[in-house]
Amino acid sequence: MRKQLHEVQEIDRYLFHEMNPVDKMNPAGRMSFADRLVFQTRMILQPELKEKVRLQQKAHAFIRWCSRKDRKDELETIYTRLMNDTAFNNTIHSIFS
Amino acid sequence: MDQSLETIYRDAFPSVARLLHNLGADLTTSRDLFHDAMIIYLEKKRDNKLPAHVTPRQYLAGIARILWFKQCKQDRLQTDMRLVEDDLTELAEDGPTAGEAADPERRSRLLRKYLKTAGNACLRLLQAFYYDQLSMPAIAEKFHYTSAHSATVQKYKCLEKLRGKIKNSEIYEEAIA
Repeated sequence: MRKQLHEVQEIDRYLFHEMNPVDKMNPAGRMSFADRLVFQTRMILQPELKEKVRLQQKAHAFIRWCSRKDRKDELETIYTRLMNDTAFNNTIHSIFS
Repeated sequence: MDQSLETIYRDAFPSVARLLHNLGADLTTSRDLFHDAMIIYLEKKRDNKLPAHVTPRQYLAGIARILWFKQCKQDRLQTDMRLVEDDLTELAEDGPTAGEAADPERRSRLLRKYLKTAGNACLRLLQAFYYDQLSMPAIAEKFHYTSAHSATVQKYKCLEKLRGKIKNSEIYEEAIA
């Protein structure tokens, strides 16, 4: 992997540790206490690294938002299909009538 | 389409709708809250964090009830201007992440549209790993990569690309603001 991708991976390891320090499922591997301190020091000394961390955090929030949106779209499809079922439709409308 | 999802929906929605109706919700609100509860249920299931001995219907009813009271509380706060500051603090504290709180839904929707045109395959790969939490060998097979290593390399390339797109979108927003 080229150097920039190693940095993306390292930021991931830092972010996942910050979000869930005891998670054994941490997809990018655990970051040791010493490594975290070194990384945090680098962020202070290198504002561009801190900026990349911020943007990568936003990227993760965006990925989660997209996935939840996809789920909602899927649930909307199920709702529409079930409401075309007369028995189900009658059950739901009898509750709100 | 996930058949088990539809089975859970068919089984749980009527009782959740009845519960929410008794609390004062209309059909549209009940459906929306049920969908939010389903997403929470699916994420807890993925993380193996569902409570034992609780059926999906019971769990969904419990979550939908909490969401209803939370929504009522937010509605009250939003209509009371004296409490606007408290509301903002609560949003910042209760939001899933600081990143999401800073990202209004509209902006996310526009950004999603923009990013999808730039690389839908990349987004699907990132979702499979970070949200669905599939293993890299499983992702390699699903997306037809030759190995887990090449899928991993592609994953970081995609994340780097998405990060760059988000940066560009911020610059664009600042320019037109």
